[in-house]
Amino acid sequence: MKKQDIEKLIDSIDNKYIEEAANFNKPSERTKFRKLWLIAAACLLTACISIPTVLYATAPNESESFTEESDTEEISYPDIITDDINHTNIKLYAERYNGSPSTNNEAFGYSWLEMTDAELYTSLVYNGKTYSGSAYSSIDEADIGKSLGVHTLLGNDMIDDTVHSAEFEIFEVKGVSSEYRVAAAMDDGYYPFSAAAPKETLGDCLNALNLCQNMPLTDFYVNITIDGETPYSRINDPTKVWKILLQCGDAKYNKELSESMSWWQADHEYITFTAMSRKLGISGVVSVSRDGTLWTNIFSYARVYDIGIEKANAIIDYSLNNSSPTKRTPYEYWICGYIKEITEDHVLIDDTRLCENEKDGIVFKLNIKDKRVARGIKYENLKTGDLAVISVNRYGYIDEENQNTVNGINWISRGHIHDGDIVVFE
Amino acid sequence: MKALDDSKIIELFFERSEQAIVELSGKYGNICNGIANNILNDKRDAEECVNDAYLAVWNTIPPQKPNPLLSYVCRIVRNTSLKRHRSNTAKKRNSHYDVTFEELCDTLSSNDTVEQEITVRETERVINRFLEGLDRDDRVMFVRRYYFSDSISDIAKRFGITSHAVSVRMTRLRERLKKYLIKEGYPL
Repeated sequence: MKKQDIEKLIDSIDNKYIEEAANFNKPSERTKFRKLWLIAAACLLTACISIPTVLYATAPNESESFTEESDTEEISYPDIITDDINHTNIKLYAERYNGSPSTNNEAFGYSWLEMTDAELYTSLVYNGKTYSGSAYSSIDEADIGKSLGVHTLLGNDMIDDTVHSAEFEIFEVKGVSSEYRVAAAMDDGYYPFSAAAPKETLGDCLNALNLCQNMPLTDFYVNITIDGETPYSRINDPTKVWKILLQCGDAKYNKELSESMSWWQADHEYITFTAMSRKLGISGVVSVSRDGTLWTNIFSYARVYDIGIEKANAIIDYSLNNSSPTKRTPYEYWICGYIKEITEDHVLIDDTRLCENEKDGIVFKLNIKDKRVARGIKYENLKTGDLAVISVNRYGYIDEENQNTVNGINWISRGHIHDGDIVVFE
Repeated sequence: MKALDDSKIIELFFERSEQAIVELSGKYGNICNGIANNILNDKRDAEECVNDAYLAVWNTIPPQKPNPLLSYVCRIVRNTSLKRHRSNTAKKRNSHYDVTFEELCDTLSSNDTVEQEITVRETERVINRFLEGLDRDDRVMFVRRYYFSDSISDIAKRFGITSHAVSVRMTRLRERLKKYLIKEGYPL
């Protein structure tokens, strides 16, 4: 097809579809895998019964306003998480290079056989609820609870429009009700599966996921950019923000703001916290605005809660006045190096030439049985001597006792040296 | 202030009231600016194109009485912006439009010199039947990306999902379109 035909094709889109897209506001939260659910419902004959765990006491009432004095003396809070990076060392290795390659090459329509089980089988029906999986990172084995039995998971091959099924063992995730999170043993680890959390009030969803114990809120940025960079800060005492949020349990879901772009289009001052949880499979943000709202995308679909001007300003003021500059926490890290060897078993990457001091050079091993490695080598046509860039999730680690094997790989791409920096072209 | 109904705005155009432009701009200005900016990647050019488009709307209503008004205005803004973009032609990819268009070309275009010319009527039929077969979210994503030239991150925000999820869906949608075109007998 000629380029002018492609232009013509897009120009010919019917008015009704233009109108539909122009007026589109994000739909209210709903089950993502409605079609799969119907099939699954027919397939699954039995379902285990889980007893939702009461995770911690109800959050304090909103009427108890937050003060520095009252937060520790009058109110009893649960233990609050301050960091969820355990058993990982990828940051130490990735920080040895100058610059960081950025790319958007995740967008690739791999065939069914080239994808990992966690990428393929993303729908589970358990106890009558539909869960959807995340392949971003496996859960730390220490956070895996008791077995919930073997269940059928479904995957939709969107290219062929066919549904596949396979059996996997399902587990509880420690500290979270299986009503909202479970883990499936697939590939090389345990991957999180999420069911929709209740949304009527902020307290409902905080309680459902036991968020204050599973998702640290430590780093934030203010809605300004300086010289193209967004300055991040780290709160001195990360428990403070959670303590204020726990007082906002009655904050109501704001449907109108949740289902439109209005929150982002409004001219208001806000700060945005990085919100990540390995255990829950969350990679998102929580923003708090001076006009009394909280916006977040940690529940798959965006949600806005009216937490009130007083609490919002308490969070913002505390954060601004009790923090220090920090580096942005990346969602992924990069290991770079020249390919030294490709065998049927592994790929060796040597980064000696990229290090300022050659003595710092390291040879990393990638397991070629990992489909993310194999397909990267294949589609990027990587050969011995080529520069490779390996994206590793923030929970990845280098197994030093096993020839520096890289774990937690997202993708591999061909790298280039451009103006002294390592880059990946789209 | 509540925006006027489209029919009221059109009435103002028929009355040759300049308030019609004010109302049109107030109601659909953001969308128009978004389209023009995505195509031109230049605020001043985009502003001029949107103003040109408003003038074109002024000059065509009456006698036109478009229904729906929004897609009519979008179409004029898009065409005006594309015209400006072509006259500004630089080889460098410098706008969302270049990126989105090249994305489609990568999937659909061919160097084959014997391919047939596709008639306007055929393209209308094929693209709209393809869109009809998509579920609403996929259809909106496709139109936002390739008609409005929205960036991946803007679409992700609109849907409240990750950029990665949008990228993967767009890749699959292009593949589906390619398969659909082949099935319908269009040489790629």
